[in-house]
Amino acid sequence: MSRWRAIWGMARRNLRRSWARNLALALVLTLGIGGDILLGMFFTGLENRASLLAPPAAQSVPMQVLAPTGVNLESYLSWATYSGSIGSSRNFQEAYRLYWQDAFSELGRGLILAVDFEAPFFRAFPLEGRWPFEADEVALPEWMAAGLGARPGSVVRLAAQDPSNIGSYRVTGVFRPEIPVQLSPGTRTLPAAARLDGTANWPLLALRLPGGEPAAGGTGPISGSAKPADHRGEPNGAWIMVVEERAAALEQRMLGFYVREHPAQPAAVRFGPVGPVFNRSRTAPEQGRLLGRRIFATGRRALGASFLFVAIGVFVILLIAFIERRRELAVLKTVGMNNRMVLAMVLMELGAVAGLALATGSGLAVAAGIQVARVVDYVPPPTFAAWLWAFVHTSTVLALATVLPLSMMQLATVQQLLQNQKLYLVRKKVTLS
Amino acid sequence: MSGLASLILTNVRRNLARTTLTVVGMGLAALIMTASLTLSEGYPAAAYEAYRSYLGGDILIYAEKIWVRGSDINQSESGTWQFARLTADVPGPAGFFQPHLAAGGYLRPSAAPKGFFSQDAVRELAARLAAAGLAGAVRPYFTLPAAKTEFAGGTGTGFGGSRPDAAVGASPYVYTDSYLRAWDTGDGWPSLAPFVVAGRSLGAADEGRLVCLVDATRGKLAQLPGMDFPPEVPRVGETLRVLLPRLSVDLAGQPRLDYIGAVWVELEVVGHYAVPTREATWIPPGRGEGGATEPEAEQLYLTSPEIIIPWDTAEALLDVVSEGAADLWASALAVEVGSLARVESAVTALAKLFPDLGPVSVPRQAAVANAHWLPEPVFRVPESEWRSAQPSGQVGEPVRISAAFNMIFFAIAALLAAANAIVLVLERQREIGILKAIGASSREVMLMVLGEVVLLSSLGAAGGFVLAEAMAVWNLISNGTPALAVLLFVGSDMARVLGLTVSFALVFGLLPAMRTTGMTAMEVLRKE
Repeated sequence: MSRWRAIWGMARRNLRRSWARNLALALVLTLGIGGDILLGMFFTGLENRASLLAPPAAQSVPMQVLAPTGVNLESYLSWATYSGSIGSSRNFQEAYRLYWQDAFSELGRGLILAVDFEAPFFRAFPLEGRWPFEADEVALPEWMAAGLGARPGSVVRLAAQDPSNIGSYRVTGVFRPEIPVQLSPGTRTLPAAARLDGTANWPLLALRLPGGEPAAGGTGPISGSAKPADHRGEPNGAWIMVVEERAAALEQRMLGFYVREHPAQPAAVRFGPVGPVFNRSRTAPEQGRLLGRRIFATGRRALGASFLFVAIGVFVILLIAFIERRRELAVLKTVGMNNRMVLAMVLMELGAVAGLALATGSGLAVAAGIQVARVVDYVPPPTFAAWLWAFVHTSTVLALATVLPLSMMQLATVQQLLQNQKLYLVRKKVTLS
Repeated sequence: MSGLASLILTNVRRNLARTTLTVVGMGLAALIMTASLTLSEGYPAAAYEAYRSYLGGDILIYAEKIWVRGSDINQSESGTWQFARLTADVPGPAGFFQPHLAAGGYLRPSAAPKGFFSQDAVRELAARLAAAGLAGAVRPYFTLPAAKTEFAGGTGTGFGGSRPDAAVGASPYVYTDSYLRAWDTGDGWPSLAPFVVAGRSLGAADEGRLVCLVDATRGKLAQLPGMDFPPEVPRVGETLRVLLPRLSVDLAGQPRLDYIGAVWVELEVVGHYAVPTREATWIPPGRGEGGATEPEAEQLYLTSPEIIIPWDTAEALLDVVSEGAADLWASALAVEVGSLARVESAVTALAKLFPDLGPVSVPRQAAVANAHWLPEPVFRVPESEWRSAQPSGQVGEPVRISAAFNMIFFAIAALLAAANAIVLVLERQREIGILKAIGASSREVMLMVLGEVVLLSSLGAAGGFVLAEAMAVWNLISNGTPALAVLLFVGSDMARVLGLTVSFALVFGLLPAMRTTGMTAMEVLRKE
């Protein structure tokens, strides 16, 4: 124990004696740690800012899936029900099937949805008139009724799937989508800006017709008096009542499943719908964050590259320190210190400087970061994760920069050190000849 | 002084390992800086030529901000953007390069103008561009959306095969993704003739006539799994029926399409075009195990849904479907800059000049798309090549931090040079002592150390500069830049790179040099 105390005493003396060099080392490391934390905060802040650019969209249901042609919706949904969940827990309890198709009107191109009006959230919708149940009946969202000048009882012309095949529909109701499961508590009205993004903001038809054969769970072909323009068929979409927090993960899984099962080259997307379309309220914030990440990725890379600078700085300082101390190390080795003890002494010196730098750098970064976060609203205050990341970065850099000088020091003999002879990084093989 | 120079040269020669390290370090830094100053700013004249010729310019300016820059994010208030999806209301080049924005959506500033350019907007923009000296020709990407396109097809073998049921009364073939694009046959527009593979190109005599060109390669799309496309294209001389929705502009200036009052138009196909853009090469799976590893190749075509019609015809059709409410229907402008050598600088200037619009160079747009196997469909390229390259959503201009990178690399290189100098001083204490003992002044010894640092740094910088600048000079020459302008560019780049190199070398070399002045001859020799 006393031996190590003596070594620590020597290390302390060395620290005092070479204060200028140790100060430079501490400064470089402080800059490394502090810079990493602050720059990381800055880029995280920019990504946060990107995620705040567009607010979440108001939606009637947490998640809407519109599947392209060729997807077996029932298999897709039953896979999605349990995918990634633990045990027998389900990702969602209810999925309401719907049939979607392109629709054309005087107001442009959009969708028309055939749905089951027994879905509970329809009860929350303010409705003037009634929901449609005949083949030639339609319920219009408020924005569309206003645009077409339609009221309950009016007849409107719409084309479904084929723009040249126009049919007439009697308007049975005009509805205003409500938002039962999203935004802050108490928010019950739909913001004007979100009107075109709500999942039930399209003309609605009945999925099951009177006289037709209702399929269990809303599935199955629809027979009956469908008009020529009305191509209602097997459900190809669903409203999924997933918990909002799990919607993004579920979307990723469903998308991954689709890509695996229906591989299509990237260019295929130019020629038709080749993948499912997901609507979620938080799509826009997530898209913003991803956009920010892509745009600022080069900045993150620069941050990584700047650590090369720190590494070389540390390496240069340590190398010079070693060259300067050759004679001293030679004397220490002569008087009986073995390699392990010399190494311990150097590491103690280095550890003390690194510890000081870590404390100073972290302290400075936290203090500056808190101030910046107060002034700039989108920059988050420093977090433990950011500190840990910076610590790992700096430690790695320090370890890498130390390897070379320490290896040279360990392999050097007293003679080599005293007589300015060439030093080696790896042990030189001795042969007898 | 000549003695000092020879001493410096001797020292440089004697320590080849450290000399090489310093020269290579500084050379790398200079190479990176020169590349960021020049290579990242432009392209050789032939780069992405097919795309540029077909799109009509070197830079695309989107009416909507679908190409986002870092400054857009940084300067926008929270909640001021909105989610949107790319629609077919005003079709344009975004459909080629970023088609996934239709299903996946994108973000755009809510207050920014949406949709399309009018003639007045184009004139104003062209005037501002000319005033800023940024561009030559400005060509609107004038399109007319189509609800559907029909053609009868023939019994003969077309580009993509034959149609067995081409009897009288058979259902016509239908395209649902096509639209009309106007091409001016005069007024300085490039000729379409190089792309025409059958029939003839459009000429001045076609202006005002109901004639068109169609893409000859679309018949092959029927070979793609899951694609419901006609296996042939309309023959030359055949009539195309196009259903055009009525167009109007609402009070908020937004485009509005009425599909109920859509109008059928018949166009005579006078020619086929094909746009060969690039060649895809790959090593066939399973090869290379003892056998030859010759790569396979596939010529890729743009495969455009655009039905190209003469400009005057498009204007007349727009007049019919909009009843005079719109004078232009263009989601983008193609801008010709003449030289690609500094096209990215021009795009940056455009972004500053028009902060509400989305300018992007065609090479940049195409390069990003090509990395994701867009926009061309492939037929022979194996799935393993494109499977993991799915488009990743909305993209934007990567934030530019080349200045920071340059500083970092120069600092690293200068640190290497400084370390070399410090080691030099430490190892040559005896020499320095002798030099001082025989009469060398501190200033002379300091000059010797500094001279060595500056010499090595300059050598490295010159090497790195020459390597990177050679490519940049080729960019300039291939773009037809006059010799004097090339010399000026090279001169200014060289001044910047060498200036920075020498500055860094001097600053970082000062410390070791100053250490030598503090030593006396006796002090040095006593240490020995």
